[in-house]
Amino acid sequence: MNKTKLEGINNLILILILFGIGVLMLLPFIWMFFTSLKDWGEIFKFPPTLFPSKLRWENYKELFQIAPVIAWLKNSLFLSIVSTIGVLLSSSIVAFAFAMMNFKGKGFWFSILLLTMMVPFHVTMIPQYILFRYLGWINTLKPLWVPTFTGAPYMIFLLRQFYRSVPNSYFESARIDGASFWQIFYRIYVPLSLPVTVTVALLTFINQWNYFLGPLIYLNDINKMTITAGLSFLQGQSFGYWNYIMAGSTIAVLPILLLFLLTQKYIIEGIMLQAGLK
Amino acid sequence: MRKFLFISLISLILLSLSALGQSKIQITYMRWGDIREIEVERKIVDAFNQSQNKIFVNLESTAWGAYWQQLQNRIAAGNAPDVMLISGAYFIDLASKGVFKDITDWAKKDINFKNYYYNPELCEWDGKIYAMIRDITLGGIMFYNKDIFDKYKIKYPDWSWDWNKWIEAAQKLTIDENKDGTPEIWGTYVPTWGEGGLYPIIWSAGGTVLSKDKKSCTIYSNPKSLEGLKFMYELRYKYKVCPSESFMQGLSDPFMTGNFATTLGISSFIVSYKKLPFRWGIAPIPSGPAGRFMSANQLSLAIYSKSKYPEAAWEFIKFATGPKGQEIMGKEHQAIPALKLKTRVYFDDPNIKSALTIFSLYEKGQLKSLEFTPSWLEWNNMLETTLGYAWQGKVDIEKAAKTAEDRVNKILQEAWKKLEK
Repeated sequence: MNKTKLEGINNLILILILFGIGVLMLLPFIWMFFTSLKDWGEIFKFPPTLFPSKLRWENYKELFQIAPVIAWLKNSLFLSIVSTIGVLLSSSIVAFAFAMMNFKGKGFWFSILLLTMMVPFHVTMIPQYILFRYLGWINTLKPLWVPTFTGAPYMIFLLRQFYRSVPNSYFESARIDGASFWQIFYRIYVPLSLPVTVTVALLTFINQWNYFLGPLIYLNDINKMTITAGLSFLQGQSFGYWNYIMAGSTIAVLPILLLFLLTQKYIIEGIMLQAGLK
Repeated sequence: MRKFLFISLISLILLSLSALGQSKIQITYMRWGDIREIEVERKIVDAFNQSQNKIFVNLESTAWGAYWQQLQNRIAAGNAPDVMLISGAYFIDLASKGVFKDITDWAKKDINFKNYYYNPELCEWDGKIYAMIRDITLGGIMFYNKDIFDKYKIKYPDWSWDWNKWIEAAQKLTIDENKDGTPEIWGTYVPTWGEGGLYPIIWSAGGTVLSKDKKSCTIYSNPKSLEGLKFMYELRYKYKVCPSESFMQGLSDPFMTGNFATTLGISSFIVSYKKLPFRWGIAPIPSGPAGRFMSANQLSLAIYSKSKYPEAAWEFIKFATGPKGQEIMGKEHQAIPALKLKTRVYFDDPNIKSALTIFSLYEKGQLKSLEFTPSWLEWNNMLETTLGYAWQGKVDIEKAAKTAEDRVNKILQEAWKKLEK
């Protein structure tokens, strides 16, 4: 057997394995989509079926009638966009300072920043709640987006690592030419770090869109919910409206899917960026 | 004298003017629920807001999964809702921590308890009243699939059914059409969670879940309780008319699949059964060696102890548990009204009518409470998970029951000890 043929077979096997894994990954989404088109009786059929015997598109129409889905989508969109802006603005400035500027206690403050990443949300949940209550922000979207303007530790870390990888000579020559820190930041570092900035934006947008616990804790009006938290109202104590839940989930996944298709290149670059970090 | 009259007249006018100018007292009411339950609740709240002009109730709601976490946060932050919906699973834990306002005097003055299906376990703690009963959910109801019974020409379940008749019919209705060793149609299903099947079966066997003082578990040490558990076990592994839990794979409500001739369940299922594509009916649980026992799980409404407007909150509770509020709740099948006058409203639907005779067991003491204690949810979860090993066929039922009893006892002991401190 010659070498090229052997390689061809190897590739074929690899492709088949990857294809299999791909299908496995897709299965929940396929399941979700088809369940969203089943009627009430078919959802509970036993043993379960994948394909609906009759496509019931009315589920989508009815979902919009029984639940304030449009309001939920609006809230989710608002939160995701504003938070993305917030995280980008705050984190990049902080990251730049940590990466390029020298100030007293830099190492100490950076380790404090990293420490905040280690504390699980459940520990800070009640103190945070009490804080937001004093500000009168309960049952508003504010607790969910205002904090993003104070920086996100992981994103600061990510950006800082990238800024540090930019050759120092850029920074030095700009300094010699008389540029201020601020000018160096937005004239040189921001344009240079476009890939990581897009990654941070995408990650923030997706995280915020999928954020489940926060809205459930701070919001208690069904019309103020985000799409992910709102759908939980279709799940009762003893049974769920599964066809509507799945229709809602399909709608909720669409924007993320669209975003992914448009920015696939950056997301993959971003994953490599994150993987390269040590 | 004239001067006095004049002054009092002026002050009266001023007072009424200020009352007119005053905006309404705003209070919040929080409940959990799915979208339909909340829709019905909105109707009740709207009806209250329209009925008078001094108080305005804001309805806040969360999904079941988030309710207790949110409530805990809000209690810690000191802004719990003025009125909250309370389940027996949490009542003692919260009441003993001083979360609820003592409403003993108001309740005794304004409420005629004889008019209510009233379970003190959900309202009273340490000799004081902290909540008002609101609704009832029946557990251990037998749902049957008429299509399956008709197809195989078996008589529908009725009041003559005992455990033997149940097994007999279930055996005839467990059908392996394609002879692959796994039936396609199952004769019955008994839920392994307390309210749905486990407790009613233990009680019908003459057993008890807890001792009289509720300080220890008796599912193993009371031989009759064990008899009930054995019956549930035998349905699965001796008569093979009920699938094992490993076969069920967490399917929450098998009746909806249309592959089960009978299942036990709770009355809140009825709302979702209305849309099922087959005909179905309701029967009481078949009577066991000790008779027929089912569960009645109730919910209550409580006022936050730090509420600024407890009187307004009480006004709302009186409305929600009064004729108007209870009628809306019953008519929309949200839950069975606790106010006796309005209970029938719930059963007006032809499909549900037969459940009314089942409900009459309440007066006879055959609908039992779920025996609430402190840390109820914790031991109840432990009981269900430990017994689960038997339902999956991994250990035999006696061993599972013994282990479960030991574990539950430990939790109970600690819970009561903590409370006595």
